[in-house]
Amino acid sequence: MEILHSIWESVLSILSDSGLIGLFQGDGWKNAVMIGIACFLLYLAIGRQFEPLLLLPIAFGMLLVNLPLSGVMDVPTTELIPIAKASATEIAKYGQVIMPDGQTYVEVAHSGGLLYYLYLGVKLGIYPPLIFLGIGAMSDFGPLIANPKSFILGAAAQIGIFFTFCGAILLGFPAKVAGSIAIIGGADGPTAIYVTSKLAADYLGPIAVAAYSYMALVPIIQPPIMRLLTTKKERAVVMTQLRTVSKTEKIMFPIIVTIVVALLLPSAAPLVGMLMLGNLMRESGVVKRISDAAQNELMNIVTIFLGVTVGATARAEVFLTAETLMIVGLGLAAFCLGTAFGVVFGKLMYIFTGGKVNPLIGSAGVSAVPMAARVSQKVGQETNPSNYLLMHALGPNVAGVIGSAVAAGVLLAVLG
Amino acid sequence: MLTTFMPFAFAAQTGTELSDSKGMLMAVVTSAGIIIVFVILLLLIFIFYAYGGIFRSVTASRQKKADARKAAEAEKTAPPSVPAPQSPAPDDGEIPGEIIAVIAAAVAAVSGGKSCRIKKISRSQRPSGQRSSWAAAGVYENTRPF
Repeated sequence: MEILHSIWESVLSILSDSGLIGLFQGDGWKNAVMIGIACFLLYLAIGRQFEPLLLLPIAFGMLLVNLPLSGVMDVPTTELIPIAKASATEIAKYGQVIMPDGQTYVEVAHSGGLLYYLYLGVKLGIYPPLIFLGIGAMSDFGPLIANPKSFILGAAAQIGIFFTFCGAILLGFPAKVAGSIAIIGGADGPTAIYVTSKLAADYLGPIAVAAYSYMALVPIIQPPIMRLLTTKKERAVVMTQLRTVSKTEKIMFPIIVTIVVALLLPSAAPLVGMLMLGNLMRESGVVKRISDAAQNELMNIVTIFLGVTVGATARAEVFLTAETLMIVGLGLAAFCLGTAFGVVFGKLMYIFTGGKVNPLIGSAGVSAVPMAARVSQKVGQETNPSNYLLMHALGPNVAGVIGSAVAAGVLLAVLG
Repeated sequence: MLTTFMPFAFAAQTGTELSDSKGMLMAVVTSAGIIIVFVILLLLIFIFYAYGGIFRSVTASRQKKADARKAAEAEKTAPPSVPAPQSPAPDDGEIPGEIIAVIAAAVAAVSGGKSCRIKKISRSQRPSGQRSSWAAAGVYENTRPF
């Protein structure tokens, strides 16, 4: 009987020290809800393949951080132990400190969780520019160089960012948080993370999840707006073939863009500079090895770190608030406004060019490369099956990446 | 004071009064943001139009020179002209016989050697504004990776 009692006490002791009990104490239910949300996001990433490259690590980071006692995001701490209570090993390892009260202590350091250290790359603004390096190395700016008018559409799609900023201020968000929410409208995950890490790091979790969710939902959100704002005749426009762009032009492009943007808006230099460096490595053709590394190994490694650590910022106490719902709503508004302004400017170009521009390419002005361009192509083919808008839409699409980086620079310069 | 439509429209709708500082902040960020984004991207448009124009004119003049050189070389080395062989007479006055032969060979290849007979060949009418089958196939081939 005594043995059974001992076993029962041991089991209770293990249970009381486990994370399981944490789910049923105090606000532990919030962690349980977050675990449910993380599992749902994992389903979307694996089962529905919504942006799986990012959503999967984000969801798993969210899962890890909400498991009670996992300690993956714990900050490093130090503990002062009076010398009398410290062991000889601790004294030898950490040394002694004399505090102002005249007492001697041993300063014992406790290291932080794994994801805390990886998160420093987000906090210090390192990962997003590295992701931009990879995007630059993967992007072909040829369609944009062949048709520079596309820059207008890339700028127009950023208008939604600034109107959403007003909406967020009216809903009572502080200016820096409002700027971070508004940048979701750029439909560019790394840019949203970069701006938020600089302006409102506490909101990184909900903003990153909202940004990547909307990027994944581009094929669902954009087409109704595109159909609503265009006529069948406009959607059927077949655009003339783009001119061939020489290699020299492609090499000069990243250098010129970097000089112009960094001189006019230095705060955009980290994002635009890395984007253009990646592109220069690709187009120059003389550093194929590092261009390949930027596109593959570096991009993949940074994506893992960025995804997991951003997910790990979505702790229950931060995420399960009314503010998160408002952020999700404002993010959707920003994204829809960006798409709508892109299409409206596409319509203006249709009018001013005498019907030579298909307004559907305007929606690709939000970044989300190449998904938004694919949506333009798909909606265009619904009206005219032999119409190939993809290459035309890639121009505004990559212009949108530059535009959202510039918009980020403006927000950082004004609000930072 | 700089003004934008959105904050004031919103205020009118809700009937609330915006505090001066909030209104000013929204006006400044929205106006400055939109203006700066457009100015920078418009500047890039002008730069790349000028830049594209220069490149095209340089390429065109190089091409012109190369063509002239080739023509001069060809004139020097050209053999005495011989009359070109006549193409087979059109079968029905519209489609040349060699085209019919190529189509027949393609049909035979597709049908896997089974005996078949071509009764009629007519030019397909494609709707205006659409690419030819060859052009569509080329575009499809180039855009398939996306």
